[in-house]
Amino acid sequence: MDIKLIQHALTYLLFSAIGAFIWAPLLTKILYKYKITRRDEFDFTIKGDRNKKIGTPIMGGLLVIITVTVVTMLFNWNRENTYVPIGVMGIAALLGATDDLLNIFGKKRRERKISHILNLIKVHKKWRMRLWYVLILPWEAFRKSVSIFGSHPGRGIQVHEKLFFQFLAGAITAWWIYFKLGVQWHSLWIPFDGQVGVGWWIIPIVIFFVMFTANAVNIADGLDGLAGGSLIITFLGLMIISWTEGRVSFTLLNATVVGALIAYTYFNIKPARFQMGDVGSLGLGALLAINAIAINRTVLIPFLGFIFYIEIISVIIQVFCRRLLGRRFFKMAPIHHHFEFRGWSEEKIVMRFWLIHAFFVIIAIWMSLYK
Amino acid sequence: MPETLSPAAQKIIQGYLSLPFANVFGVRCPYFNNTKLGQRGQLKVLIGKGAPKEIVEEAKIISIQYCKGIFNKDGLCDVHLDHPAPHEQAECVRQFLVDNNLGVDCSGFVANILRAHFWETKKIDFARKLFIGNKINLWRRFIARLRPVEQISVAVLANDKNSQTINNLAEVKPGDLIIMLKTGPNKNHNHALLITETDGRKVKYAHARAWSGEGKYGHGAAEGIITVNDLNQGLLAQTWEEKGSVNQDNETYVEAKQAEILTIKRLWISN
Repeated sequence: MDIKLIQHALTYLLFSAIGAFIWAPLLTKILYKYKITRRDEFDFTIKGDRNKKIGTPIMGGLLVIITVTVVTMLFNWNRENTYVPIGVMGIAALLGATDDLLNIFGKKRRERKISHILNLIKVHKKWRMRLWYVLILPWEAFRKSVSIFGSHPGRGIQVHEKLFFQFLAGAITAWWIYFKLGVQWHSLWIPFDGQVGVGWWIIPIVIFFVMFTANAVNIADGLDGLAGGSLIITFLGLMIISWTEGRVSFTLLNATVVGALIAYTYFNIKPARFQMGDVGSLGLGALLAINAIAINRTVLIPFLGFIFYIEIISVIIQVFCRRLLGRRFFKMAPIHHHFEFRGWSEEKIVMRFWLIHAFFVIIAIWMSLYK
Repeated sequence: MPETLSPAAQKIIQGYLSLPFANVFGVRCPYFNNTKLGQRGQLKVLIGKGAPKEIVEEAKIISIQYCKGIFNKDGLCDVHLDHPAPHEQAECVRQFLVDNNLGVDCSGFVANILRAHFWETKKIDFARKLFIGNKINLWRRFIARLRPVEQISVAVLANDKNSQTINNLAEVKPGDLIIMLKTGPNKNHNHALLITETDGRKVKYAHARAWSGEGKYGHGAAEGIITVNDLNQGLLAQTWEEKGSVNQDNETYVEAKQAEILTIKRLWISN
């Protein structure tokens, strides 16, 4: 293993952390100035201490996204390795930022029933409008079919729109992996067993992991410090794996993310100075998946993102039980809220989740060493 | 010695009459019917089919989740702590339940009690044994397997494939149902009473109902007595007493009178 590479990576980590610490107050000021803060009107969280969260700036994830993008573009920018991870992170972050801003400044979205659209197709006096309604019908049907997963459609981007853009981000990554990185990427690394050829199946696998991981991190961002701290552990793990694999660009990229996340989490620990928002959680979730896929450790993503996967699986179980069985599995989902209902303090949940997460990331590192 | 339902069923009835909250007593379960809201794919407790414990649990969750301030994180009632008059607390909680559509409808009430009764006495999941209907598609059949209690309506209970008619009042037993089909002033709803105790002269029943005179918050699970004056006469010839009101003042009796079909039914499963 290359000691110089890890020295280099730690330099990136420190540089990125110091950079993020320096401009964090400026970001906070901007968020306050434009009133990009948490509102109380539609907040499904617990009374008491949690009331203090109202008025806390959101979109603090910009600290990580912008720092990582700038540092990478300045010092670690190369077509083969970092173009696509940064690009996809940017797309996912843009989607998240739009959602965050619409949730604050947007208007409540109007929803047409499918039966209404079918009626309009029949009776609208303008043929152009009838054609328009025919064209949007599949999209509306898609909206209706996925609305079952969304709890309360607010003013932001709706579930079907999110899924579409996340699919786009996943598809770009899959295209890059399948067509640009060469034939050696048409196989999956399996711990203790070497490589298994998957051919074009790598495309749906990549799309699934990018979409699922981005949403998983998004869901886990519900308590002060939870997503930030867990992401530090994950990217630290990815940095170590990239280093052991000799992947220079990814070691440096992951180190940059860890540095920026340290600064972010410093300000995000309870009581948070700002919260990550979808801009950070979707962007970093997508980056997590891409970086793991790019160093051929796709199958380790559930370990590297263990706590995020537990969070999203808890939501899936809850929705399944609610819709099909008519009862709750957890008192509330995601699972961190279930523990809040059980009387655990926010700090206790966050720290225990960090520790459990760290344990599984260590397992991922250990497995990745067996080729 | 009067005949009664099984202890588990009686416990459920008591649960509806005084919901099992940790530190509030005497909260009668309100009536809630999902017909107006028409919620689909929802928690069974939110469509009027919940058991007492489920209603209590959901009330706590809603209170905490939506910051209503009724229950604290430990599930204890948080209202009127400075002057904790029990009836005030109970009234507050009841209003909270009504405002949040938490309650039970008549068929949900009957189904949950009979489910406990048959499970204890015969180890049978009664809800899965009922005939739901021929006209439902494969998906509905699948859902009916997963959510049996939600599929049970008064019409299902009254279906001849599920129950037989009892013509003689002397034969009535606990677990039998008094079914009212097409009742109310507009003949647009059905209702079911569950017979809980009989001693030959008196028939006790329990049901979930909403009397028009009880306003927004007064309705809910209730018990009543039918005093059998003449075994050879029908149900309407007997004395119906509930909540201190007798016959014409008793809205349950009036509802029975308005019903196009008023009958006593016994589920086949209880044979």
